[in-house]
Amino acid sequence: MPLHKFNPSIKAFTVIVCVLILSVFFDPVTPFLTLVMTAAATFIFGRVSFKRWILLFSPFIFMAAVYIWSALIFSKTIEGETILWSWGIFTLTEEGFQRALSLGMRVLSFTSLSLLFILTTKPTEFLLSLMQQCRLPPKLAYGIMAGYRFLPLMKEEFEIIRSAHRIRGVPKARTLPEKMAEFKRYTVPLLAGAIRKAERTAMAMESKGFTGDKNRDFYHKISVSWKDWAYFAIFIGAVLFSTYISWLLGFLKLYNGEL
Amino acid sequence: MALQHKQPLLITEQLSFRHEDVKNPIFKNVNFSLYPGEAVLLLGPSGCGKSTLAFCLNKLYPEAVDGELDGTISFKGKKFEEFRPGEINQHIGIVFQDPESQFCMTTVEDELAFGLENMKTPPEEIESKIDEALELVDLLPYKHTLIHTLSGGQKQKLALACVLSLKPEILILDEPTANLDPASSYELTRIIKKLKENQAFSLLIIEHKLDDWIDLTDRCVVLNREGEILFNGSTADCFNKYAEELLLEGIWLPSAVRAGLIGKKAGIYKGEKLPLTDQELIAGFVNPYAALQILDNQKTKHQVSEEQIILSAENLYFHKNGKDLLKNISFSVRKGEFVAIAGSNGSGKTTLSGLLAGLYAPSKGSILFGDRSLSQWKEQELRLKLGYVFQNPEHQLIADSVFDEIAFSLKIQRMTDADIKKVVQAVLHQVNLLQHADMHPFSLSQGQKRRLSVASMLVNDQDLLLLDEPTFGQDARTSVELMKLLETKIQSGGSVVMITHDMEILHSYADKVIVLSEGEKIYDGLPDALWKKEEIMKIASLKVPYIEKLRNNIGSIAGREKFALT
Repeated sequence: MPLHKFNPSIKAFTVIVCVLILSVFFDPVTPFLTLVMTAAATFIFGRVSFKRWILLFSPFIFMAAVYIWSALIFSKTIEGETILWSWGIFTLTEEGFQRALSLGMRVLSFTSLSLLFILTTKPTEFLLSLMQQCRLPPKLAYGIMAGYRFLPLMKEEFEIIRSAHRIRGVPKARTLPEKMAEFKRYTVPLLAGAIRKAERTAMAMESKGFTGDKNRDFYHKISVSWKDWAYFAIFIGAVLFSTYISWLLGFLKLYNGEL
Repeated sequence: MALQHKQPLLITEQLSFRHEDVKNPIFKNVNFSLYPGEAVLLLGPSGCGKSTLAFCLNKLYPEAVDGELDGTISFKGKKFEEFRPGEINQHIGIVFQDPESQFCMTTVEDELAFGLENMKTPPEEIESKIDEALELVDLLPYKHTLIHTLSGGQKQKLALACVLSLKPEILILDEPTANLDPASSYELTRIIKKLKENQAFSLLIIEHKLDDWIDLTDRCVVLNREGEILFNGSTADCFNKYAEELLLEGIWLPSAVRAGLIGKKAGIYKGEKLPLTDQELIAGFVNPYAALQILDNQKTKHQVSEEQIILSAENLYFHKNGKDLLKNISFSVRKGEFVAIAGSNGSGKTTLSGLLAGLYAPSKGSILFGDRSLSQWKEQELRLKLGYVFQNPEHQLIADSVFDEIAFSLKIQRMTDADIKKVVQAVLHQVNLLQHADMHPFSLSQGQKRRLSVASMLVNDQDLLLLDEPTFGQDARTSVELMKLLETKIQSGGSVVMITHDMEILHSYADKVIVLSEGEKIYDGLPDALWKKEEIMKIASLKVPYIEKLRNNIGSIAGREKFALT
């Protein structure tokens, strides 16, 4: 069963619980194992292409690298730690290295869990599920859906306004006050346009009889079955399994305010 | 009329609407009724409150805005206030003007389901209702399509399907074709006509261009500039008796009526009443062929300089996001020439104009403007020589007052204040906006904004003016004024390149037409020769202008008579 078929709310809940469990521990092995398993699930059961995944994942690799780097360089040295290397004011200890690695792995494991959710869930279905399972008010849910449609339009509008100003012979803004003036010139028409569009869409929704009434029967029923809970159990199980292995290897450590 | 004996579906009494903080009402004392099964055309100059009235009749206003509605509206004898929220929308549906902002879901199916769910349709019945509604507008193959990938015409058909799925008793159409190319807009009217014959709903239509609608309407209601009812009666009477008043109000006349009016003034139309259809028009002409000659004389001829080429495009290509938006386009614009660019929605017209204006660089090929390549021009210098008018005038307005709007580019050139004042006043006088010099540009009416946006491009006396569908959504008066401005531009030796869906403008003003289809140039030549190329007209979703249609009709009638004689 591909991951797309599971209930979106349960999927989101699973991610949240997994993240919470992972934050209790602070060692490099637990999140690393979770990361490997989540990524594998994304490719095998989520049918997500590696190319697409790595494209979204790579900024976080960079971020994790920066974390690890700065945690290494600027780590405080505690008495009795094994010193691996030292140069001037910089000291690298084994414990410090482990802390930095834990932090980096934590970032990456959270990212892989979120990506698994994002890449295997349609926004519309998630909102429908939130309304049906989590009692999200329809007013909010349909509002978000309408807004979601606007994003590409806003970008287009911005391009048009920028061209319009170029046409008028507005010179390129160089100084700060010029940049501020430019910003003001762009935002006013952009916001005015966005508000007008939003008003129109709101009217179109009302004209179709939308009142925000919470008693709503849905055409697309998003159901919860034992399979969804099995999904939940398997993922939590995978995270707990990671901690178990980490414990067997002697790495497992509870988070104790190291950061 | 037989219809009048039935109980009206909808009655308004002494209806007035006023926006908060504005003294004058948008419309006032509107009394009118809509009977079951009839089709009513609501006419009026832009800004007279037609749309506002439509929104009130659908109970969207006054809830959606800060405004005050006086008088009463009742549906089947029940006052609007007595309906629960959302209840009236099941009986009265509306299709809006803008295809982009009518939907809140991502796929066609979900959008239809949204309305049906709102009406508490049992979920198991929804699918069959969706299919039924899509079938009516020929969109069934697109059931699972993403809405943003549909064309403008398809979006409007979808909006229509959404309304039809709720089985309304009244259908309000608020300029549904304003954003569509001629063929899509014609197709939409034919679908509505077909529906009207098979379904029992009443229609209230708001439109500027009336030709395609006239044969399906029973009655006209005309609002004047002040938002009062000027006329309420049969379509035939409306145009017969009030054609000249309507013209004065800036309302478009159906082409047959307009031709009849011109014919009458020239003394060649002998019909008793002004014609509504081509048949009536032709029957009223003493000599149809001679009349054609006179009508066609409306065409403007320009003094085009033979050798002076102001802009030439050579083998232009443009790729974006892996798509070829333009392929191998070459053409030239001469001094004093009016060039029109036509083509269906999404054929690359706006992209091409963006390239010509130097807003983005072509992927391949070159554009020569004046004496050098477009890329060699300094930005500031180029803008003094080349103007561009956007489709939406609001995009172009950037200053805080009408005066500053015109003065803007002059200030950039560091002109002295006294000189600026002189130039601005002259320009504002030319576009008839002098009395509004201190107003904020956004508070002007739609037509005034249009004139201001063009005026801001006339001030530097540019050699070339590019316009992107400037007449779209404008009333008759504004369009005429705009064309006058462009004519003066051409008279003074400037050139104009205009993207347009309006075949009448193309026919009467253009010296040369370029037709695009899927990014390729498929025609480059005289408009008169284009009308004979049926293949091209079909591919590019164009329609022949009225005078050509009339010529064909005269031909076929004459042909039939000849056949009857032999």
